[in-house]
Amino acid sequence: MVIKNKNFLLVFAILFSTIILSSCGMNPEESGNLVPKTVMEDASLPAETHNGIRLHLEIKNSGSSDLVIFVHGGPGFDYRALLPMASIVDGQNKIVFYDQRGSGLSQRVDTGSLSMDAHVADLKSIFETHKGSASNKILIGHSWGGALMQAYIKKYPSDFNKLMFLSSMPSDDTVMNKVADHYPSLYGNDFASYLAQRNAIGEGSHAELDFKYINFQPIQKFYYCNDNDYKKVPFWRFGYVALFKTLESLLSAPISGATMDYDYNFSSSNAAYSGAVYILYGTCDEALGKSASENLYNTFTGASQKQLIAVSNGGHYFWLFNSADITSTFSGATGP
Amino acid sequence: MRIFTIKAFIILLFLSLTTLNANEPPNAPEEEIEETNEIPLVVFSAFELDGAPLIVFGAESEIFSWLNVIGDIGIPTGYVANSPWASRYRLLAGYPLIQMDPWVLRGRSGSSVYGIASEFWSGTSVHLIQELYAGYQRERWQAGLTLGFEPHLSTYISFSDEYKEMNPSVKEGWYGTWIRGLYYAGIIGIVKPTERLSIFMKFAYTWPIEKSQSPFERTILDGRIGFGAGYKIW
Repeated sequence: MVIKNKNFLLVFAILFSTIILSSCGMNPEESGNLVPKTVMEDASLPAETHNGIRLHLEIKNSGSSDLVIFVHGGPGFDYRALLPMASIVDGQNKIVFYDQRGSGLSQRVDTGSLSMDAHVADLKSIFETHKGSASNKILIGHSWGGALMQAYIKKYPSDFNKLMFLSSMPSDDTVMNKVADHYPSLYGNDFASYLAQRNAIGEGSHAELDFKYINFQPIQKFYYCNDNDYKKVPFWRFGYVALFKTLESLLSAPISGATMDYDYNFSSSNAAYSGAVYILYGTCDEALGKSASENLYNTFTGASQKQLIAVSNGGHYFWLFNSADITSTFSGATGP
Repeated sequence: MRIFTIKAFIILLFLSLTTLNANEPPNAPEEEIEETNEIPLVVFSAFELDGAPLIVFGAESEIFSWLNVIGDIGIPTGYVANSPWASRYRLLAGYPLIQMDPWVLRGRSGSSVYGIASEFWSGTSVHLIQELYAGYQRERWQAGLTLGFEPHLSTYISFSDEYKEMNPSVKEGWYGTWIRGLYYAGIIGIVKPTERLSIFMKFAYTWPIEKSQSPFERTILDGRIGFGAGYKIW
């Protein structure tokens, strides 16, 4: 069979041009495509402005007298996984959930605006805005949120009369640097898949980076009782830049290698805290479980009351899998 | 005759790629192409070596080294061994070459990627490579310089069921435009163990054009290695 070269080239040119033109797909940099929109793009989301940053924030039981503020983990995660706990907090409490700056559905910020001090300042602003005349003021933090809580009480030791730590980061770098030992698996298949995405979507936007971070989740199986439990943890959107840049507040140097060197110590300021302290952890959590919680528990030597509670068959988000065990603790701790 | 036609075809492809203007027909000769059963009619695979078509099958892996994040200068060797880019078809020419990998399927194991888990991830990329050979046809080893621009056309991104359920507003589909791309430069070596069989290897340093825009303000070093083998068809 003979093909006329002229026709062949024409067909080819048309086909190739069609491929080129039809290749213009959706924009991965645009919020709402790969990841949900933040409060900056979706005005229907509940939000407040604190320190000039628009934060995704919602309030439950707004007419109640006392105050509970939840601080999510990460850094860079969001408060969605914490929402089920609203139902087990004592009903007299006004409950504030918020996504930290650069995290979840809150406004993305410059890397220079991501520091522990900035997060403490945001939390202080939220506290002052919502404390009203509450006599019972409770701060509840998960994972990284526990570190933020410790930084907060170091600066403002008397704002909250009760603290509740959930799978919290410990009080100092000793335990935390052992947690980092879990991460050689970064060099396995899961991490490779994460890296491979660099060629498909870029790094020019928060939306792309936030989407990529989703793929870090499977390599964190050591936080859970079962390999697939991470799939059951609800979230809206991660803050990739917030995660790495904020974490550097607790490191000896900016992240530059396969391991991170934590360098922080809240022990002395924890010891000066005089309110009530509740520390809960899941027994399956190999990262921020028993040893991290015991480390934290031991530092609150001046607490008026303190409890260390192990939740059996619970991982890093133990309340999502085993909430029955903590209901009485929660309602009691958050009661008047 | 066939050589000339193939070169003209490559030039046309180059023009299509760089100008996106198909209205001006190139100055192509009007020779005829005889299609035979012996030649796979793959539009973008026409090239030749020693006067005969050479089909190259190979794989390419990429080595990602992070300077400021995770990995330092270290090489995650597990990545190379488990590269999802394995089985990537490569087409190689002995002259300035335009290379295209249509529909690169990047399979994912069900548990490896959350968000894209159990889904396929496909992309189309075009490579424009200019290889400057030394000692072509005289030495068993041929060294050359590879300069490339790899624009990424579109990538189909799909989500895991869990992600879709949690965030129903997100959109699966084709992402990206041809503008996004990577520049790369490196060296290539070719071994010719027999008259008909060639083996090639390549190392290149790649950098993304969007690096300076990264909100994370980090530097990414990105290398790629390639290897493959070719066999003359006739």
